[in-house]
Amino acid sequence: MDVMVPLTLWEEDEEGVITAWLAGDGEHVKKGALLAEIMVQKVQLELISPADGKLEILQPMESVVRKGDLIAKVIDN
Amino acid sequence: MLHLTTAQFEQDWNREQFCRPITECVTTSWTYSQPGIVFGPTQRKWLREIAAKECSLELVDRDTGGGVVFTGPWMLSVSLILPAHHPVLASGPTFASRWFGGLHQQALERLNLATVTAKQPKQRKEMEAEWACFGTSGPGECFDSQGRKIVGIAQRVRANGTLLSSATLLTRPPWKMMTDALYKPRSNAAYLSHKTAYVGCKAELFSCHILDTVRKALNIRREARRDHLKDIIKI
Repeated sequence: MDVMVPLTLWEEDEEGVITAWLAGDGEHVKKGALLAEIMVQKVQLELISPADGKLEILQPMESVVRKGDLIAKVIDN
Repeated sequence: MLHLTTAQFEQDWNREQFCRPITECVTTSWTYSQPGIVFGPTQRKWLREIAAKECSLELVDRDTGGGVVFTGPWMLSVSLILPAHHPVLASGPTFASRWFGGLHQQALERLNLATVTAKQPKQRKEMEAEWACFGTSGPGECFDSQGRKIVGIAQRVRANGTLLSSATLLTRPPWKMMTDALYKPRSNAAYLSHKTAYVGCKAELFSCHILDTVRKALNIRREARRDHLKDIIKI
């Protein structure tokens, strides 16, 4: 399942930065687990896993992201 | 309640609030017995580099967004924890920052200091010290009539609640102490000095005004003490 930066995470069309991955590449994650943190306009926001599975990180820490960007996948195994 | 403490203690307190269910609004304020440099979430690598050089100032990392904050006796910070379902958060984090900045604006007005709050961040090209909180502009942050920043605002949004955090300049910080500690050019200190203003009152007084304003806005009952000016805890 795709892990995208939610369109509703913040209001304006600003860029954000992935400040931390809280699960490692290849790690098994549970649905609802905290995956990453994103900073935009001095606000630190959380990204939650949409499913159980193996995490595949597509955008490393410090990547600049926009709403709707695909940043990881959670692969059912 | 005003805490006279260290930047580390404040950040530990902020983190602890998320380790338990957040069922009600909690607010408190902080001022600092010693200078400290607090790095934002994107600056942790930089923090490690400075720490490796044996910096004499307290070095701390935080979880709310934004750039370096230079804490010390010249600053009063406020932490406000809101439960995830709180109405202030319903319209998103930018609205919450603006709302929080508006409360600071009201508190500053009570001290006869007129300010405006920022709606949009300025273009990065204009900024000389964009690595510093007070070198940039974000939603809700307060500026005097000459566009000099007085209040910085940052936020951390988690599943169980949100932390809104502010930093207000009470007196002029010794910016050169910070830029020297971070191996930044002295021109950055001059820029920050030029681009910031300060309230010009004691921490106890501004703490009293801002906490009273926040509590009234949220209908939070304050601790049963009559003399605000004695509400200081030294840690």
